[in-house]
Amino acid sequence: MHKFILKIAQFFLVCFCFIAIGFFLPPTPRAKTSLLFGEVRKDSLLKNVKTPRVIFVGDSNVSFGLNGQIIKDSLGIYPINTTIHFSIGLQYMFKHTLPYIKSGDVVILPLIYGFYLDTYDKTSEELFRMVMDVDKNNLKYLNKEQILHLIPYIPKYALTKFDPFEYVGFINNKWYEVTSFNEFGDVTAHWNEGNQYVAPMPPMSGSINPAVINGIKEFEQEVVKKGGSVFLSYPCPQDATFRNSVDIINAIQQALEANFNVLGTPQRYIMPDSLLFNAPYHLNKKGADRRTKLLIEDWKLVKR
Amino acid sequence: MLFNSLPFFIFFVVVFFLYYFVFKEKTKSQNVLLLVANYFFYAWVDWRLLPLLIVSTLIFYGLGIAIFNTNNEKRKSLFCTLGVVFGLGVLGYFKYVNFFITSLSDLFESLGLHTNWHTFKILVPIGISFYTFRLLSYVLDIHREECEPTRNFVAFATYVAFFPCILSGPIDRPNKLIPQIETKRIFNYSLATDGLRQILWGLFKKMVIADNCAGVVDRIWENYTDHSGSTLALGAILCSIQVYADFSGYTDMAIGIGKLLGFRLTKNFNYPFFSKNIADYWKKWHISLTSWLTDYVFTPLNFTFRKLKKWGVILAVLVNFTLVGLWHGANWNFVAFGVFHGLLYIPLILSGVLSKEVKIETGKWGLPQLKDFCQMLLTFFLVVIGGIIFKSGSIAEAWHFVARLFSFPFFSIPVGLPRVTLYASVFSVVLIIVEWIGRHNDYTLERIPIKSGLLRLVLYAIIVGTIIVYGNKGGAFIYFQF
Amino acid sequence: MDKIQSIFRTVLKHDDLILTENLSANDVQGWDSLSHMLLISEIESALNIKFKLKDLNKMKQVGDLVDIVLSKLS
Repeated sequence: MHKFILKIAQFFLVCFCFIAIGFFLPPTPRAKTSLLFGEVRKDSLLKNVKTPRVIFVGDSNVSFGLNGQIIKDSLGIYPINTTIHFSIGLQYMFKHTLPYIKSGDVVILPLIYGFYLDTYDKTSEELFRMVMDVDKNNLKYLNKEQILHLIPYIPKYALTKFDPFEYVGFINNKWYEVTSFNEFGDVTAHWNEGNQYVAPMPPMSGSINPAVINGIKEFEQEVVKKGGSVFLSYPCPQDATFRNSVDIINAIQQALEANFNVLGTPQRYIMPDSLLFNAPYHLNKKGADRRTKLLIEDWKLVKR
Repeated sequence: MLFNSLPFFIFFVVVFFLYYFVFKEKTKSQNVLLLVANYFFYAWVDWRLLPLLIVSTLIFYGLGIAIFNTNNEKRKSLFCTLGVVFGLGVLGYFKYVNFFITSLSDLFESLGLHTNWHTFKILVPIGISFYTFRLLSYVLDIHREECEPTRNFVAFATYVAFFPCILSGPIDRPNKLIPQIETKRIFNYSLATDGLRQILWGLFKKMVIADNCAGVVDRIWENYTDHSGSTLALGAILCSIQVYADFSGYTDMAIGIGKLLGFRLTKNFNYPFFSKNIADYWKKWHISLTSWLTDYVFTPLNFTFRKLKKWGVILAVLVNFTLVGLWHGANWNFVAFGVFHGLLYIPLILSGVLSKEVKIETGKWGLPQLKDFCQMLLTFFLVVIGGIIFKSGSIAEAWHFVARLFSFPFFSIPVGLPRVTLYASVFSVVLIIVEWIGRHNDYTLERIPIKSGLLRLVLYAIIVGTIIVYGNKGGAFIYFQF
Repeated sequence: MDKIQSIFRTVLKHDDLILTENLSANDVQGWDSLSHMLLISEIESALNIKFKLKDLNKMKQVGDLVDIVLSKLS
């Protein structure tokens, strides 16, 4: 029995060595093409673009649903689309963006409805890689719980570094690469593509997480302290997807209007299938243009 | 509880610790622990059906002793028949009564007679097909004087509900497993490490091969009318590989867990894809089920029909395989699956090939001879067609799938398939190659030509790494629903 | 015994097969469960006896077969 336990211990030691080596190896070529690396250029925009600017924070419903050129041309203001992926979580997005906020910045949050029902300080493989692959300094934006919840991601992440498919022959999804973003941070790589069939999302379940509302409030207060302003807005769901979750969406609208400055209404941003790209909240070029114009109209109403 | 889940891992570590440290070499206590663990495991899956398992166990325990004790032949047969009727009755009720009602109702409707029958809301006890067969073989073997009943209820109940096997087999025979339960078990290092190796291999097959294939196969089956023949062929092939990797992977884990506890369970697979004909295939696929049916269904039928010579054999085979199909589920496509395989025996029986020994000749570099290779390919093709019938929701769907498979244009680059298709295909090929090389082992990883202990550990770590990186957190084992 | 041997030779297609007490199916090529049924059937016809299913399970070796046949003839 002692020999058996010893053998198991030796085996775990060997596994641990593999994990330790992999953990410290640099990001793989495939990982470096990931859209997560878009953060580097977006941060550069946040750092260097002079005011006036409008900053978008949120998930891919914004990166796949905005045409920054239209905003720049019609409002004379530089739009910075910082959005990358839902899974990175609001807590990280806010903490990461805050240091770059300057006086006069307008921050718009057209958050996908799922955010309001989810945990505020989400953890995910994408968040893990944002720290490990993109920039290890991003670790300072995480709280203790997040760090603890990210530990289980270590083995798979580390061992992936030994996967030959990470070095040769990897086929990335074209729209989800770092090169998909344009000079405003919008995803434009798919703008010449046709539509794909999009299955509606099933009805959402759950209730609004107060921690999310509080988190947004705190972020708003910090932005205001720096001389900026925050506006909430709505995502651009597929018609059928919207209809599946009408009640929850109404509740979210009520909560937002009670607590924040809001642009538009949920109904205005419902999109027909002809304006979608590959997911219930991702738009093609026509859809992105339409959504941007709606946003500009709503913005103009508020400015008055 | 899936074997590849955290709750099971914790459960097993606790059982292992108690088994070898607290109740070290105390057979009675170890058996009580196993029985408690068995019922805990079963209750975790569904506690509502635990009473049925316990009651069935008690009844058959009593019947076994009754059959043995009585000297009256008629009484022996009566008790045995009671057991068989009860076992099959319970199985029939839970699994088949709704199928029977719907089919009969459909038949009457097609004859213009309207029926107002409703099906029952029945909870199908998980594992019932497996434990019922264990119970039946117990009374049948006692009646045939092939084994003696045990007076040790704990040992008997452990045999019936042994947790590694209760959900998906293997179906061990009483005279193979009960003696092992009644014998003292001392920790055996090489058996235990062999068990761990087999569990690792099973996990690899399940999580890397089967679960990756599942993603592709389900996608292709969902809208098969949109795909070309070549894509459907890929889907059908991966489907057969998925079922094999899933089921044999699970079995490897079950056997490995048994080894860790000091038991040698029945081998259930013997590289079925390397079969030269369908009879050879069924000697290598789900061995414990086919040998069970051979001993208790086919042989008695064959004996009854012996005057019909070859036609008697054919009849026995067809009935046997209809039952094989029906065992898998209460649906006509399963019946069709069974009949399909039964029909494939006919040419073999008529030509006398069935009695011939089947060996695969290898030539240069250990590859099979061309003739043998072609036969294996043909057998695999037939198995894949059977797999289409098995996987489809209905006979009509199976028919349409096969028709579309052979339609023109056959070949086109698969469109809209997930990236996992590439991984599933590559890993499937790797599996076939590795299994061919290791086909003389009980399971592929049993004997590896590496002498260095450290290098062997590195190999196992690489396999674990592959499971972590490529292992899909798939669903339940396919055979759980049976 | 001679009759049984000739039946074995015909059914299993082994012209020079010699039956011994301990001979079993494992020792003879072509003697499997199917040809076993043919053997049983031929022996029943030739010797005008009838086997039971229980008898079948007791026939592990030729010796057992012969014992059962003899018990049926007496």
